[in-house]
Amino acid sequence: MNFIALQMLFGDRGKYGAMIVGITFAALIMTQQPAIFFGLLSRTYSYIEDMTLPDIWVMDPTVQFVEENKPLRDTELQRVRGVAGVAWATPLFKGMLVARLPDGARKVIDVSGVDDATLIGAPNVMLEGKITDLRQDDAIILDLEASNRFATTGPDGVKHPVKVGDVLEINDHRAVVVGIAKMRRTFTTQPLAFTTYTRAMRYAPAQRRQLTYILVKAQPGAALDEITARIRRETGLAAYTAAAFKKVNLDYWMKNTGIPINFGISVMLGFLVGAAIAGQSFFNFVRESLRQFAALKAMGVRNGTLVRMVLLQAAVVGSIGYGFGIGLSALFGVAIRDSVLAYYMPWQLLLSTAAGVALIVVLAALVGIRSVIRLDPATVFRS
Amino acid sequence: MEGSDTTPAVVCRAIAKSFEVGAGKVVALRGIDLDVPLGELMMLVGPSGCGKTTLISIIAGILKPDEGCCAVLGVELASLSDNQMIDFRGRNIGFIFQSFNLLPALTIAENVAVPLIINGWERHKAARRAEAILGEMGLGGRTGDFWLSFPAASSRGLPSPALLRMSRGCWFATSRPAPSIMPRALRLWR
Ligand SMILES: Nc1ncnc2c1ncn2[C@@H]1O[C@H](COP(=O)(O)OP(=O)(O)OP(=O)(O)O)[C@@H](O)[C@H]1O
Ligand SMILES: [Mg+2]
Repeated sequence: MNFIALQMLFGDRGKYGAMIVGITFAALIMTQQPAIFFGLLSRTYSYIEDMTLPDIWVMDPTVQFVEENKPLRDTELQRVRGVAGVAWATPLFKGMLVARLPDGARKVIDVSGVDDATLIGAPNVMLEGKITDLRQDDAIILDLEASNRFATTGPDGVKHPVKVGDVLEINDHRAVVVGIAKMRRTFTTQPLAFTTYTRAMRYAPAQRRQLTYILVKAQPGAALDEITARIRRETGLAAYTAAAFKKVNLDYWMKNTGIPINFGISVMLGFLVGAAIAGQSFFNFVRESLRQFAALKAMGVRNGTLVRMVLLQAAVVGSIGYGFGIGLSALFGVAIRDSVLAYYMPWQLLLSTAAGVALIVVLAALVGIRSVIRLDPATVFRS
Repeated sequence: MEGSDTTPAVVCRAIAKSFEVGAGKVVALRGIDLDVPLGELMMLVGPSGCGKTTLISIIAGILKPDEGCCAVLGVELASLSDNQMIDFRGRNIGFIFQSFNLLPALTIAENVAVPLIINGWERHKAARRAEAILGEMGLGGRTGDFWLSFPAASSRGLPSPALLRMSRGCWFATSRPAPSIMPRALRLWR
């Protein structure tokens, strides 16, 4: 009987296609909107995630998000280094400075100054140059995004991104671009630049020449939560594991912007529209197959078997539509990578889309099944 | 298989059936007595609306009479539960529908095999049996076609689907599970 159920499904190409399209579309909008939402949210902590080495971030206790840049006394670095369980701790300067471009324009730039000796905190992915090039005179590394955004338009009208060898001025100090790095976009979308800690001090205005973060590596096997607690107790500073700091950022933007509500609404609407399309198309299929079910019932197929047939049809259509939907959604994500659009498809999202599609298809199937069970086989002789 | 060779195929006594239509009532059958011996081809003839379809629906076990009793192959239909009735139909009754092409998504052979599949036959085995029977009917070459493409068959001297659908009100009760009653109906028709 499974064979007959599947043939009924595949037999009518038009209806089968329409159903798959409907469910594909439902799965697509159920995945795509939240993926953009999650992508956007992941940008609130992309700077932290891009720094893969530190286990723990130490900062001013009033910091609410990573771009807030509150100064610490330089002596705090030594105090943190003294805390039990800390393997190493390096300074990180982070601040919004004004850069003068080769064509004279002034742009705000988010400058990170990393430890001179170890270069811990420098970008992981270098498109041009090496991070050790930061040891050259007046060297800075620009993020690809910054190099594009700082592009100058030549006399021929062509845009020239800032490239290695170009010279900027940051706070009246020379800054020579020695490398282009690939960083993930941040939520505040400021162009990023990296240099050494000492040079960053020089670039910063006098009242801002102070440490911003202390990056900490725990000793192997040490419990991170205990170390953060110890740092907090002994220094009075805020200390978060990288994961906890990510959450601090996420929570800040969630709480202080309308983004979650706005996106929540559009995700809900997407779900409802998707549900309506998918449910409607499957329900129509069952309804239009009622005569065939009635014939089978007359010929001796029990209700239980008919129900199994409908559920099998629902499962097949649901799975195929789901596969196409998330596939298209993933293609969309690939297509918009490196663009201003954010996209992030965690497995939880795929699972929730699966549950959504299953829910819709099963609901539609149940409504259809009700009519199948109530079918009067005597209708087979009525024209 | 219900009954033995001496059991009559159908025994109906005092069958009455009426339908509610709006506020009124349409009497379709009034006190029908009918005996059909096993192995007999019986044709029911009468003016439109006289109750032919209603009667065969009752005998085929897809409609319950208001009054009277009907035994098919020795089994009193009123004594069967809903599921027993469905199983009884599956085992013993062949249907040829009036204006309806069975399952358009199935090939001719598969359609003929449906009753066997319903009775638990393995699909390929049922299809082979159906093909053999269709071969006997002179339809062997087209068993892989779909019903919808079948009208082309008539131009090749094969029985036309009109013949297959000649069955306005035709029904069969068989004492043996048939792969489909259709080929036999055809044979009998010729
Ligand atoms: N489900 C129903 N509801 C209401 N009235 C019905 C129903 N089925 C049959 N009838 C009525 O019962 C009477 C007998 O109908 P039936 O279909 O048995 O006649 P028939 O002899 O098969 O006619 P035909 O030759 O047109 O097929 C008709 O008056 C018909 O309108
Ligand atoms: Mg009739």
